Amino acid sequence: MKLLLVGMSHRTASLEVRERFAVEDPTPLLAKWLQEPCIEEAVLLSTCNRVEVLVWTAEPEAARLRLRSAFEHDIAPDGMRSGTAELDSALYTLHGMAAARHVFRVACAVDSMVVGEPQILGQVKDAYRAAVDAEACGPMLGRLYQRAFATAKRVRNETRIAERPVSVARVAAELAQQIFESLEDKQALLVGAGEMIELALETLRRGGLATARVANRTPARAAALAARFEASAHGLDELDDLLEKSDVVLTCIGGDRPILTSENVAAALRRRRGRALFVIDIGVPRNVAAAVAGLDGAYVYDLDDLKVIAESNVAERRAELDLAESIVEEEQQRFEGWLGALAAVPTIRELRGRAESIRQREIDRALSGTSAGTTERDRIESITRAIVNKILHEPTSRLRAELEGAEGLAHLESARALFGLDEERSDGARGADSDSEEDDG
Amino acid sequence: MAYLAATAAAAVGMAGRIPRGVEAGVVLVGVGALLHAFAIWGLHAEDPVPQLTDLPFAVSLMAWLSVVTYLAMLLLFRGRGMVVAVAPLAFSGAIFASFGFDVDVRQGVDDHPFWSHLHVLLASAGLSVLSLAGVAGLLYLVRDRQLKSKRKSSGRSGLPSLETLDRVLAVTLAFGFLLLTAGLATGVLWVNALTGGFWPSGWHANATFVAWLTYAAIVGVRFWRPRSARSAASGATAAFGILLAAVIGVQVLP
Repeated sequence: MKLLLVGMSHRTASLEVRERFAVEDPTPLLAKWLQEPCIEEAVLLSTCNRVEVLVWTAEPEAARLRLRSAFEHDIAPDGMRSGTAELDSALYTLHGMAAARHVFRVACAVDSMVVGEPQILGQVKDAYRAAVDAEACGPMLGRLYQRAFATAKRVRNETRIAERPVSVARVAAELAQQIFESLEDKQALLVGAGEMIELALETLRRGGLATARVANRTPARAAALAARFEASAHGLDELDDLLEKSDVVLTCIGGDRPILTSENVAAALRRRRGRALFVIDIGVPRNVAAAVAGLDGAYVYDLDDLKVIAESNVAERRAELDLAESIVEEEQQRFEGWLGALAAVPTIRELRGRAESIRQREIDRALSGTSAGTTERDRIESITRAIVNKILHEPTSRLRAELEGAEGLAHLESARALFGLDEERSDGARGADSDSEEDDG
Repeated sequence: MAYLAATAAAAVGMAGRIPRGVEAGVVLVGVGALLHAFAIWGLHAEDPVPQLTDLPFAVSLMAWLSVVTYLAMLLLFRGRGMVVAVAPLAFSGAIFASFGFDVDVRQGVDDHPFWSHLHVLLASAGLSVLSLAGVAGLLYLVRDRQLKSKRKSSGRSGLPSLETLDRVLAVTLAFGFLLLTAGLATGVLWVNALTGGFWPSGWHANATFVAWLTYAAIVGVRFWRPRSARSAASGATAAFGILLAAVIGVQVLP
């Protein structure tokens, strides 16, 4: 059994490619993939910056091919399928511990476009919960994700990555200050009502933003968010009027088509009498038509543009990043140890089985031909079982513990040799072979 | 030298994204303005005392007025980053003045000192303020390009924000145009006192009138039909070039 991860991220695919593969509801896809005999467990993570599928599989190559095909046929909607070459260059595949390490790095926001951004952990948790609800996440991936969450917590507590949280919203707020003298007399329009919009609203408010308006397809959700930040709530039908009044527009809303076109932005700019309009589009697929960026007075930034600016943060926080990487390394080894300890289970079971059969055989031999009653037999059973348990407790505990270390497998081999478990198995196998030979004969 | 030092400090501050470099540039340009004021005052001790109508003196005065206007505007706008262009402009003006070009613009000055001095004073003040409009326009175009290109530096440039540059542009265009108009009017009155006519022949007057018309168009577009701050910025930059050529170029070039 092995871990396998297939996916694409901001490192390998442009926003244009990523937005074709964004998944809103992973449940039907997970249910479909679990029908495959090669996939035991699966988790699908789809964020603005990545789409990744992690599976626990007994047949890694078959699972890899199935996931490659899933990206082409299950995830990309009809008519938006990517060319084979384009998809192959965007996808990456990670096996075993490399996949586990990647999950840890993602959860810790070390692999994020904006290193240390706080949203990703919530998104990973959502992906995990969705997989649990779809009964796609079993004990193996469950353990991996619990470890990943613990690693993320450690990174936040033990490094300063979270001390100065840099988010897309923060980069956007920083950019706004390059366009406007101050946010204190500015009006912002936030389109959408998700977590990113909430964070952006919080950041802009902290930056002194005067007026905020939230527009959403579901006005009730807009109203709920607006109420928390003293903003007003609107429906998308008011967008044209709202655009004219707004200096900063931040969009992050679902949908296949752009909600801001060059026509309605150009009309708003005319009515704004030359005042600049700063548009941040963090939606995937994009919410703002590409032509808007070419309009005079409109400054449009999408996720990939913000990435270029955010990259400079990485250099500044290299030391913190190194520390975070070492924590990831440590936690990866612990997970590897836990996986290794699982290998001890059959050995321990065999050892206990062997001890139990010896115990039973010796009791039967000792009591045969005696007049011992049920009470005596029960007492002897109880005493011998306690003796066997006490003798085996120490070696089995030590075996489990040692297997979490780097030389765990060597200890396992020694234990098997010491108790002659492999000999017993090969004897059995030989016996089986001779039986079959006899049968053949 | 203080203007040169200010230029260097501002350039280093801007290139290295060191805010203190830009701040040092502002302080140095202030020191330069103070020394410049003493130097202008000191000219009164010379014999003969240079006249305001002497081109080198007028250029020196324009450079000084530009810096003083810039420093005064810092009280209203967050425009420290403009020092990166104001300091070299002031330095160029001071260097130009120190060469003392032998240009004869004193014709009729002694006969009508009031009109000639008022004309030069108003025109110099107008040119100084419009030079700041040119600087703001130029920096607006640079800033606009930076933000449109979405480079890494977009988020941290030491230049003022687009809004600040646009506000500085609006204020300097309005006041500069008023001063230039007053300078033009007093020039006409001076010519009238000299010749009885209203318009002198020659490149200086004609080119200045073209520059005035250009500014009139820019001011009209900027305040009455604003469509794009960028077009006003381009116009202010180009018009300052025309004005510079009209006032100084045609008198210096053969």
